[in-house]
Amino acid sequence: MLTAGIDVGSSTSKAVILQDNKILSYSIIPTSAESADSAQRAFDKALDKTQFISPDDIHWIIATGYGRVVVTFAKETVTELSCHVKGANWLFPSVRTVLDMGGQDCKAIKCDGQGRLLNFTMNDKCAAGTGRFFELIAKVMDLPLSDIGELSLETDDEVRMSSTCAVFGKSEVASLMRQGRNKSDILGGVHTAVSDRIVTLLRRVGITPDLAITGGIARNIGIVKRVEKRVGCRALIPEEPQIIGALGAALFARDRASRN
Amino acid sequence: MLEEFENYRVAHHQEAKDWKSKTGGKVLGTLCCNVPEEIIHAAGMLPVRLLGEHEPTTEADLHLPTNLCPYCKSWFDQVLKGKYDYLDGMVIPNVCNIIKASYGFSKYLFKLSYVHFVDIPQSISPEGVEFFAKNIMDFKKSIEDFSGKPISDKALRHSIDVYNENRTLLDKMYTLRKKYPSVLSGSEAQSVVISSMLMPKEEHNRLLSRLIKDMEKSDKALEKRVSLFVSASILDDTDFFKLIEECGGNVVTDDMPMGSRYFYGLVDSKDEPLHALAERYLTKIACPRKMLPADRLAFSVSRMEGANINGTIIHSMRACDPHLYEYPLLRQEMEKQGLPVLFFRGEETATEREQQKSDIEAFIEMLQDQME
Amino acid sequence: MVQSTSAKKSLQTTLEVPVLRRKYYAQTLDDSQKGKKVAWCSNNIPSEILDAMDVTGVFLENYATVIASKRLGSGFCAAGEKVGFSQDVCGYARMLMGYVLAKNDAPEAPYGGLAKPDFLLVSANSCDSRLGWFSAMSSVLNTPLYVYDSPSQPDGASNSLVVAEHIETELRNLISFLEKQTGNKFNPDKVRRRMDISRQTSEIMYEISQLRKAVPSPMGSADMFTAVWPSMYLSGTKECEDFYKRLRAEMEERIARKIGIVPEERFRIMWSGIPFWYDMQLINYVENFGGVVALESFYRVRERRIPSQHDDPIKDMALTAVRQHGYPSGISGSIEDLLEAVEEYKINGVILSYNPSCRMLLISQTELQKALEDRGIPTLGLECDMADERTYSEGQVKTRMDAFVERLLAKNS
Repeated sequence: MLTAGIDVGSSTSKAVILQDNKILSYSIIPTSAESADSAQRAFDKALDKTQFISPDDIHWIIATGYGRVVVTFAKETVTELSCHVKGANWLFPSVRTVLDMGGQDCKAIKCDGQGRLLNFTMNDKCAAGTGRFFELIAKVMDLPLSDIGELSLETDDEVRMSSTCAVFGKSEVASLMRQGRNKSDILGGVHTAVSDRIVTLLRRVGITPDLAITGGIARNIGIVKRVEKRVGCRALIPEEPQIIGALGAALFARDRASRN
Repeated sequence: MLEEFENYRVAHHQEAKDWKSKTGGKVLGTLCCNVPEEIIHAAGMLPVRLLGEHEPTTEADLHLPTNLCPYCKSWFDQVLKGKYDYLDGMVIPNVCNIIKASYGFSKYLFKLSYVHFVDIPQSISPEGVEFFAKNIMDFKKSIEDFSGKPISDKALRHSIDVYNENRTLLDKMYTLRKKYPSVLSGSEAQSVVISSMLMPKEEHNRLLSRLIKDMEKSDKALEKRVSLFVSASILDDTDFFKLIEECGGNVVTDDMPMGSRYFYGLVDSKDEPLHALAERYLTKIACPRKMLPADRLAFSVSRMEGANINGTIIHSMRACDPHLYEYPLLRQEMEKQGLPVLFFRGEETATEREQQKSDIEAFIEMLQDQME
Repeated sequence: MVQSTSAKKSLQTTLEVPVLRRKYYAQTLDDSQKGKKVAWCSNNIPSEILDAMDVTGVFLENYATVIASKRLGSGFCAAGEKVGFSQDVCGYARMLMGYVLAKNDAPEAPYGGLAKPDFLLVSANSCDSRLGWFSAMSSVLNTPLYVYDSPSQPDGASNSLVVAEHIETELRNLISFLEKQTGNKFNPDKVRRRMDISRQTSEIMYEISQLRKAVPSPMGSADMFTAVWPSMYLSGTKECEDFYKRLRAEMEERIARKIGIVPEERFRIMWSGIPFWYDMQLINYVENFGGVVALESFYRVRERRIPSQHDDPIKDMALTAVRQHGYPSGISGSIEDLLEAVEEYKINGVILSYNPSCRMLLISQTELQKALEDRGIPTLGLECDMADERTYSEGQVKTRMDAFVERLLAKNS
């Protein structure tokens, strides 16, 4: 049976095509101003990759993410909170806590052994601790986004950031650079400040091992290592951390379809 | 001389622990100028003002939301982190909502054998003073139960004298620095005041007397820095004043709880002690949570007497309702006095240095131009 | 035209309230025209005393909710911020300061605006905001302010005669102030009569509160946030008592016929804290999934009103205040209270509003939420201002609500 999950996020839209227990294909594209259009294009791209599947072959489609309500071709919607733990727990059955950091928010989510949502807490009010914040910092420091995590680990004298606010953080970084502080030292401070906030979020829901990290942040080794250290356990990282929401949606679609 | 105050302030946890081992006495944490400390002192205990720290409030974040006074969150966090494990108890006055709530939280989360709430009237009136005197009597009884010893009238009067002496000395220090700002910087003065809230009072009186003698003897060079007046909600360390000094300014006097509001007004030593304490603590402390704007603004302006002020900085901690409501009126009053005003809404106890620094530098430059 | 944001009501009686409210505000304007003295009051000024002194009371917090429910909150707040009141402070205060100080920047005031005050009355010992806000207004309007104090009792009802004496003194001083301002003589019999009716009404309110325990819910928060209005602003009148008699009767009928809020009640929610006045339909949202907001923390009547404590009405007020504490005190009291409500009203999950500008309530929410989760009771936190709709992001709030519902339904399955 073929099902699909569409995750329309603020920065990227993802689609996953699932055949019973196997991921056939997936896609990740930037979300344009037209979310409905992005959802369609993500879906089409994933279908194209399979080469032989057409939209009519898909039994059930579920949409998730902040733009889920505009995906008219989906049968129903499920929140990304449920989808992330569903997807992560399917990949790693031992997972009970998921940390997801998207473009504009950061979530700590708990689940049970079946990947059912137990509890969650979100930071969606403040930019500090989101993907956008790191993009900002990388820009200010004139570094590729993909490098800043590694660089943040190459310090043994990291700056102690006094601001927890993204607005102040940006100007604090700029001024530290003017003062001639080492880039790794600055990045070390930034990553530690963000990890502190992430750990607080995690502690609010309670950290039960195993912990999985999803979303773009999973590729930032500076955050991953710091969170692991503070939390005291290794984090499970999916090979493709950005598609976990869409995967969860496709799995929910599979459950729904088999019931009907 | 000044190092003694500053060293004590910086190492206040260790100092309190040393005091405990040396004397076998009890240390009680206090919040806010409104706690009648003389009662604690008369029982032979050491009152210490709870202070925050410049670090993320990772423990307090699990129990308290954001949008709260960062100072309160910070000291709360310090207690949860064990920094105040030497405390034998806490005394919490009825002041703002956060401090009031911390009474319940302290009983719920901290493992203290003694937590007492001092109910203070929230409006200033003669009837309020009478009611407050009765609550101070309750407080006295509660301390007596805790210590196992009665507090004699003589002991209480003596404590009032010791505290009055400290108030008089601090006032003298302020008079001198207002007249000759070059003799004592704002951050140094603040270090002295804060250490008074931490140190055994007799010791502080001794050191302060010597400091004042030194101040009187010093050469009193002409102050070249821009002279500022600061009205603040809570600045529990010297960082902000040091930042102002880095920018080329000097704070010569203030209106704030960790400054002049702490020591203004003597306890009437001729009156019955409990009534005298109630009178001083209710009517003399210019707290915006109780004192109405007309009197509050008059107090603030009066702190500038004897000083030559170029500009005012108003610093309110974020989410501090009493001070944030007062701000528009206070600003208007300062401007009426002909003083340019710079306003900060403090994000947290750690300085938001960069932004504040550039604002302060610009402000001082403007004032310097005006001076010429 | 502003789209209606009112919650969908289940009871007919509730629908009477908007009419009563309009009438009330119109009456205050009329009174003012006729030369009656008008007092702008904070919520805990005893209206029985105002009535006895023939003073018309205008309760600003309620007017603030009227403004907010018409989605004019942010306009007024912005006006208040423009004159220097920080975004941190109470949304109600900012709005009213905007109304008072910056009429040109603020939207048009509902109900034709407020009657001009002859004096301001505030209770000092409630929240920090009220005193700061009323003091600022008094300064700006150049209108006399009377501050009435009432003690804290942080450990609950103290039964202290010292405290009762102070409350009595404060009440009598308030009366003297009003006598001076109005030239009227205080009429204790009028107060007594209103207090007697108010006591009768509170019996009915207690019963109504007990009836809400029924499954399916005969009346939820969608109704109660409106239906509570007469008890707050028409307290001690026959009109108010009759309203609640009708409300109780309607609820009894619904219980007898097993009529709930939704056809099939799948889960029951409790709302802790202030709702978001500019989108009260949020309270109805869970009904789409078979859920109901069965109870709110504010208006649960925990116990019967104790009988009159003294013939003298002022002494009665003072003694009642120290012998019967309305709200739980301190964090452990609040937790106990919440857990009791969850059990008695068969609550499956609790939504806690974290109003950033209402610190008096905000401070407890994190620990309350933690206490519930620790006991396996599902919770959801929503961070929005109660009056300033700029803080509200419908998408974010709905996502959280959807996830909360998913969690509740997964738990039950």
